[in-house]
Amino acid sequence: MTGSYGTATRLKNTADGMARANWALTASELLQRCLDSGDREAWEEFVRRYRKTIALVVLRVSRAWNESSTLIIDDLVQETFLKLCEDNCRVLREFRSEQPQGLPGFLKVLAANLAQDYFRASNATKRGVALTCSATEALPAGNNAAIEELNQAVLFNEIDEFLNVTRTREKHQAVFWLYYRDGLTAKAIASLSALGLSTKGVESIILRLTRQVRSRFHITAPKTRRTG
Amino acid sequence: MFEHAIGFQGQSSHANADGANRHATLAYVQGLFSDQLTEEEKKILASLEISKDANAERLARQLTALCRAR
Repeated sequence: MTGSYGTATRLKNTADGMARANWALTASELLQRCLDSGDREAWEEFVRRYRKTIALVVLRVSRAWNESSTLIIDDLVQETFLKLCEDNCRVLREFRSEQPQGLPGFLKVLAANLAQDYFRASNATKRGVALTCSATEALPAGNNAAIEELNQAVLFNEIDEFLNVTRTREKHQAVFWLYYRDGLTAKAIASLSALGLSTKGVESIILRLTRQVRSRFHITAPKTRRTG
Repeated sequence: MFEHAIGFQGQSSHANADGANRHATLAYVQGLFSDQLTEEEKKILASLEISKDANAERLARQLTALCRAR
């Protein structure tokens, strides 16, 4: 999906010499350059880097609503990008994450909420139901450091089995895996309207299941652990 | 109806929900954010306007203008 556009941008950036090329920047560096300089080429790299991430989530939400129009999907992808620049790029300026996957995770949640809001509103128009979810409430994905200490591939299966055997509610399992496997923060998970949970509720579920899993698998808790 | 499709409505999210719903819910939420693409998804993504470089450049210009217009 990069094509000549990406190549041309990279060549231009490389030719610029003094500043590091946009394509070589980390996610947070690129974001900072976009916000600080309002540089068009930085924004081009931002779009190039994340258009597929956003489009994929929008596509999946669209299909869940039985919508297959590429026109609507394209509009929602564009809306997601424009949402980022609303109010002097407020959501991006407030974004904080120390994790490399933090920004893509944040964009995924934002795109999913925006798309769900769109389809819910469309449906509500037909059925007279009110819209309840705000896409801008989505916050960054974050820390999965604790799980990285574990032997993931084998342990994940064992934990999954454990959660099934202990008859853990499916919604709680989803919260647990979104947090540990997909790196979403408690606040980002709470922003998924389909789950219908508050941030405190999500944190409570994570804490309880984490204790159970640690106890079952004899895992020592790390000294610090951020849940938000 | 979206909630119905993913099993989050009413009693379907409770512990006594049937096995199919239980796994469908978990699979949906995790699948939504997965980075793995099916062949069909790849085709659809490639057909989107945003996948065309000229359109992506146009969008980037819009974003730049919005960012500068403080």
